[in-house]
Amino acid sequence: MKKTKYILAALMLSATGAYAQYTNSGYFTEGYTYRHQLNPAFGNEKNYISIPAIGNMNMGIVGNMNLQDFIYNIDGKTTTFLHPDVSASEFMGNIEDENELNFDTRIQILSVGFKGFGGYNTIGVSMRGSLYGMMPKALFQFAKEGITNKTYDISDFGLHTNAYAELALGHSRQINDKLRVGANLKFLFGLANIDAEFNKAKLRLGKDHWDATVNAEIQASVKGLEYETETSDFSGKPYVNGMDVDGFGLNGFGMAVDLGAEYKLNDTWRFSAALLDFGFISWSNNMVATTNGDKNVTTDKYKFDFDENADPDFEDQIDNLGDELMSLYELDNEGDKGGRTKMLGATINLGAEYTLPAYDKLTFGLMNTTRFQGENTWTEFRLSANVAPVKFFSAGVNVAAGTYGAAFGWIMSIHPKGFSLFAAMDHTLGKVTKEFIPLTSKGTFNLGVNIPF
Amino acid sequence: MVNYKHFYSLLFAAAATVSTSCVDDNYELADIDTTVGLNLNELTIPLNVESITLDKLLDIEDDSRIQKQVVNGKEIYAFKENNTFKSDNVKIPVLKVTPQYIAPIENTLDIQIPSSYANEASARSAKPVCVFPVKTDSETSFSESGDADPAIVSIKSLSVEGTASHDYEMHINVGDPKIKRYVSKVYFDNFKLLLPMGMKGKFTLDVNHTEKDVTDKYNPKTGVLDLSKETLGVTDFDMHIYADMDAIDFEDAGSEVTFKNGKFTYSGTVKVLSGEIAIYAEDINTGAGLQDIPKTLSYVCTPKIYGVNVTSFTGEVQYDLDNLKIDPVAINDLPDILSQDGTDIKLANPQVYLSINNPLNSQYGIWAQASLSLKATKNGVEGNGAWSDNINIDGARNVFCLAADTEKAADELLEEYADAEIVKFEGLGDILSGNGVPDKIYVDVLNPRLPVQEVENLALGQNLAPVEGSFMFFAPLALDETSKVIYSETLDGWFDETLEKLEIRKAAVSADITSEVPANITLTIKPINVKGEEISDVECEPVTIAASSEPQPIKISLKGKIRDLDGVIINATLSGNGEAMSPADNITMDNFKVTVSGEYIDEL
Repeated sequence: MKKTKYILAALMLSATGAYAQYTNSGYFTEGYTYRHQLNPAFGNEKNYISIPAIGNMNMGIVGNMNLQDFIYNIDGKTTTFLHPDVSASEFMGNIEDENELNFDTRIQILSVGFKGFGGYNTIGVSMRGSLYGMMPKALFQFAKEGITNKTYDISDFGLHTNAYAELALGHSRQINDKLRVGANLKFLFGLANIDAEFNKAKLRLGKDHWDATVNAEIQASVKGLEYETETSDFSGKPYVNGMDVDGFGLNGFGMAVDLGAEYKLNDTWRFSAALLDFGFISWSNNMVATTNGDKNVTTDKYKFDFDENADPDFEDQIDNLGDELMSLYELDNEGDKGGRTKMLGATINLGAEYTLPAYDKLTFGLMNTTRFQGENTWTEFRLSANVAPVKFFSAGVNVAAGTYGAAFGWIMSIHPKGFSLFAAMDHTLGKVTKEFIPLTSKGTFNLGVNIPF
Repeated sequence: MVNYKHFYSLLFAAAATVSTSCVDDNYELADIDTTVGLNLNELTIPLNVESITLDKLLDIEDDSRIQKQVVNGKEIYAFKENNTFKSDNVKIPVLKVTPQYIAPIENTLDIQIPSSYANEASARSAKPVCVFPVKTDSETSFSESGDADPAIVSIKSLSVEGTASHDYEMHINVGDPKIKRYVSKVYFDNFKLLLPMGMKGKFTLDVNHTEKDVTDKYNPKTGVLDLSKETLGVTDFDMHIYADMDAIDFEDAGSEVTFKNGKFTYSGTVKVLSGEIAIYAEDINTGAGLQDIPKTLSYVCTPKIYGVNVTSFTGEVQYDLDNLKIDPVAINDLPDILSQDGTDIKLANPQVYLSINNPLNSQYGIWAQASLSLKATKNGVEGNGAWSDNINIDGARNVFCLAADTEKAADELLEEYADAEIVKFEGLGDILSGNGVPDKIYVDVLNPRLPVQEVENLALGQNLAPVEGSFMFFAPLALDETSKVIYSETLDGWFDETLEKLEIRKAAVSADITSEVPANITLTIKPINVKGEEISDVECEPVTIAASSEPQPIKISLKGKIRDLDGVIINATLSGNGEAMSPADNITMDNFKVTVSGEYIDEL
């Protein structure tokens, strides 16, 4: 139970952050309290202090696996894609070669912004987490198109989760009339980092023989985590069949910086750039479970005997083959391989903002965001229109296109004196099920209540 | 202070506005249909399959009539059934010969006085004072007869055993009181007697109560007992001749013995061929003289013959052996593969081994003969038959291999019958042929007999050792090309929750088969549903697996929608190539593949 509790806690935490840890819709929106998180060169006009825990809640899901691609309406009834009346071609037409899903969250525990030291300063404590999963197309081909004699490569099947607490100290200042720069220095306190991946997973269903190759590894940096093992029916050796966490807590330390700059070309054009989360976390442990290289199973080595008195008989061999196939996924417990240091996924934001000369309350912005995180690297371009007709209200709408497709975003910020409320969606939820489950995998939501002063 | 009331109101309004306007009523996860269809698209499952021997495939049970047998060092499957048989004892009854009364010869002899007689007292060397010559023209007939067992065809000689103290006797009496008054002794001089011819045994002369063996005086070829050299002075005026026969020699007896139509007759004439009653002077009582001697003398010759039992004979015999029966061969406890209707087995090399002991041969040189017939029946209805005529049992131990194909049988004789005489047995190959394997084979030993043949001193009235032996029906499981073994097996009980959800559109099993099994096997497979009915509209092409040392590709295909599968009916038809099936016959299945197309539909 202890194990389950901690793992669930880690995953829930993870399921709350990278894509939705920032609200790009607010990049050009005056009055959005947390613009400095998008570019540390941005400073607020007012001081503020966040309402604990609800000052800036980001959560979202982004990917190219949409729920609507997996559920269908057949004769008025909601079905899964595996329903026999759902054609394989229709379903597979919606499936990408690589299918990814990001769950991200960021909860601002506390944030304070204030003017001083010749600029604008911020102090923030937040919890950040992300969960990234990827599934290859072959997996869905296997399930939907029907099993046939071909090679199924499910190597790109993995799960990565990362959770840490962040203490950020920021400062921005005007260098001159045109240039403003800023930086955040972040102290990172690692909670959990798990990388589980099939480096290689191939199932070759040939007509003459079948074979399977698996190369998988789990690296887990979680305090108190131990792998549970049991003895393999096939090899007689212990293999990992679970994990237990005893004494969950801080398990690493790291640092990162955000760097930003904004250049005001003239009264109508501003350009900005920021590098976010450039840093690392040094994890205290690295619990490794691995296949230790490629594991292969080939059916050639099994000979089946129809003689029911044979030893092994036909059914025994089926069981033996099954045991060996199962052993493909049996990972050796390598124990703690020592600490490891992992870079954070860095983000670069580039922005260009145009203020309508005829109505300077209205601006248009073009932003490019690129996140560098290995195979989860993505980019998007976002074009926005932002308006701040009065001092206590600002809003913006935007459209985006990028790695995960097109999106429509919006932001609304009400920030009268003494109160600030904002809500934003970089990826506006499209249709939802009756249970309000988004039918697409693009949905982010940012909400926060702060006290400006 | 934050106005939370306002915050939550706004939050709610925003969420409600955004969310409710975007709800797609087409999707309701709370009531999702979790039906799942998993497809198999021509999925070929390759399997390395161990070659399998017929031994493993047939799995013959211990009580099966078909078992492994070693023939010429090679283990084969064969039907083997053993039985023993034994005739009743051979016994030819004693031939009882019953005599008929023999009339005595009675004469009055006339005295003759030799001319040189001079009334002198003389010794025996002297001439008699008078003689009474026996009348040689008087004779009488003897006859005895008996009905012989039909086993006795002809007789050359008989050994007999008397039923009285003697078998034959002749009593000559001249005890006329008139002569006894004057003479104390008479002599039977120059007596030659004609007795029945052919007698063998002991001849005894009894005079004055003194017996003398005169066997050597008897000539069986003539029947003459020559006593002429004997000095037969008798004081009681009687002479007895006894014959104690051991045998009657038919050749010597000539026409006096006949054996016709089973009737033995011994008849002829007996008489005194010569002789005279002589009186010597010295034997005339004192005070009497020649003149007192009667001029005539009463003479009685009384032959008697007594019944005899013939205890053995030399001649020709013919005997029907009784009770030479062999229990039917029960064709049960066959493997399922051979016991179904429609099966028509024609065996390539069935054999019947007969091992017969004939003790009469060693003792008497007697040979026997019999014919053998097999008749198959099924449920009481007669089927095919096989027969072999006139098997000669002419040794003390006789071993036969009865076979339809004598050449093949010669090549495949069982080691323990290596010295068997191979005899053609017509129809044996088809003995099991018909609609279904017969349940019994009746074995009839036809006309078991001792054919007409000469024997020597064959004992009568005794239990002679019986003819006995063993019978083995040995049929290697070697089917000829016209055989048809129909085997159908239903494998069912498969239906369960998993198969209920499976729909097979197409299935195939393919392999490159090398078969050492000497049979062509044609297979069809038909799927059946839970009601045990064949699933309709499913195509199944039969495939044939031939005996071949070269790999032959085969493919068993089922095409059509198969649902509610509960099993399959496997129909196999086998025909052979004449070779015997062996437990070691190997079936190799290379490139064994199962290809399936279908869909599995389930609720998650």
